[in-house]
Amino acid sequence: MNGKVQARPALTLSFFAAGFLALAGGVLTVALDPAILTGPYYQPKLLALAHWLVLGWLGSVFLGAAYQLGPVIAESPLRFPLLGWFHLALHLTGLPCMVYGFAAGNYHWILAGGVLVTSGCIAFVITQLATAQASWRGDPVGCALVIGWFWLAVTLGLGLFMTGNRLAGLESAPSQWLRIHAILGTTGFFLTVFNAVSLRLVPMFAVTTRQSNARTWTSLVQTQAGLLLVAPASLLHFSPLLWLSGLLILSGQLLFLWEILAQLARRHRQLDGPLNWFAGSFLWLPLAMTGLLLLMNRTGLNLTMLEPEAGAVLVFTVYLLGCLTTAVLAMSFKIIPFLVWQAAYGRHLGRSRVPPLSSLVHERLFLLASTGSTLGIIILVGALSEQSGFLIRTAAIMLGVGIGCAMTNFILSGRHLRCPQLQPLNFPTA
Amino acid sequence: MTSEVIDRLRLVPDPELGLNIVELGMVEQIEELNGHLRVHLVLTSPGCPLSGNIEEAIHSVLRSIPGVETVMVEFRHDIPWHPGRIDPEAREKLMGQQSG
Repeated sequence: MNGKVQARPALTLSFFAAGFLALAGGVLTVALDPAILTGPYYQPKLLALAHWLVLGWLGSVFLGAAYQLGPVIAESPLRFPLLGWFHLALHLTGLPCMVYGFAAGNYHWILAGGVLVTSGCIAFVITQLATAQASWRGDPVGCALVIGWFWLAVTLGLGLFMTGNRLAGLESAPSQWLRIHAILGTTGFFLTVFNAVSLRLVPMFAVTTRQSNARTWTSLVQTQAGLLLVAPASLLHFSPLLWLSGLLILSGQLLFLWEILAQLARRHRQLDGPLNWFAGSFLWLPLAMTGLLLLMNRTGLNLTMLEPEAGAVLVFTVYLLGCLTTAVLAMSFKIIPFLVWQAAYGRHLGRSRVPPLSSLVHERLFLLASTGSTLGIIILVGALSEQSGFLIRTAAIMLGVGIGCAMTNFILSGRHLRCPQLQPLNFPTA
Repeated sequence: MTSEVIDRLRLVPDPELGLNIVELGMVEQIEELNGHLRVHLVLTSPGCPLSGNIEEAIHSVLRSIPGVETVMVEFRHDIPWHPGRIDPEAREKLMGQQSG
């Protein structure tokens, strides 16, 4: 190991571009047809939208970021980068097939798309494992990442299993497998990776350190123990086990939140706008995990007077949009400018005076992006509680404005690639 | 020559934090022998994606010093970086840094 990590900004940026286009498309769909989000979750259009957003938006961004963060966390260059491009091609081919299949109720298309997406993820896991193998650290971050890939494999396997069953006429939906697939996919993979990435990025960006190893490990163990119980508890319909599973996940996440807040309290840097927004995403987490606990135990979410099936849409909106999307949007104001900066100025470091990274973030666009997205998500959560189509459309429009501003910022930052702002470097005289 | 080397290393910035590698306490040690320089560097984050760029930048700013023949950068993975390594004045700057 020579300590140098070769970056792959183009690969990560391509995944991010795909993710943002998917998010914009998903939000536009909701704005045009708000009825998709009202009523029970088991309806073709909603299943299509859920896969479009979870795989197309969050999946693209998480997987793309892993091509950048994986080598950083493993402290080793990315292995087999060509496989990463192959993964992107499979992902972008398989996802539309799968989503079309869900919307049309055609399980042949779902299976074809699912096989392509899964093949891409296999390529992804190969690159990540090969990268991690070179210098893997058995700390909570390294362990959580590997566990996240395990849950990704389980989720994809379950998806293919259910689709195969439907084609063979063996299963009538919705089944317990579908609930397990949804919980393990969104929580097993995304939450585990979100925890790992946050535990790595918060110390890096906020200039702080891990405050408690014991707390971090306990958080990981509790969350994973809860996740491991999801499938047996759901299949056995055993209520105490379902409560235990949900409570373990919730308590694990509260410990994670405690650690993050402790790190932020001991930071050595004033948080800038994107970091404050990122920190705000953690506020959604206890709400989302409490909702998941109630949903798993089908308590009816009496606070909102929704049936559990409609409550599922609300809980996953709080979690996937409130927590994860807020975190990703905020962190994309750090990661994308960094990748562009590195591509534009990395080779000029020490040769010319280069602009600071912060110059790639336009303050007004950032404010519009963060305000529009945050208000949009808050209104959407209220709209789902009230089952109001008008408010859902209003929320989608606000969210769309926020996403549009974020995308505009990233496109504008590309100017630095075409016209780098370099100034001569004045060497001090002896 | 060491003070001149340090002055030159101050020209290598961390783009995210806005401080240079000397202020950040990344320079652990500088060895100089007959025009051959060896800079021991502690990365703020192990596996930092800018490490290659930082290494090239150090070469670039040091090789133009009269009398310097070779420059070698050694990443010290055995020494963990921590915020306590930041120069006290720079730390104040960091805490007062405004949003970009």
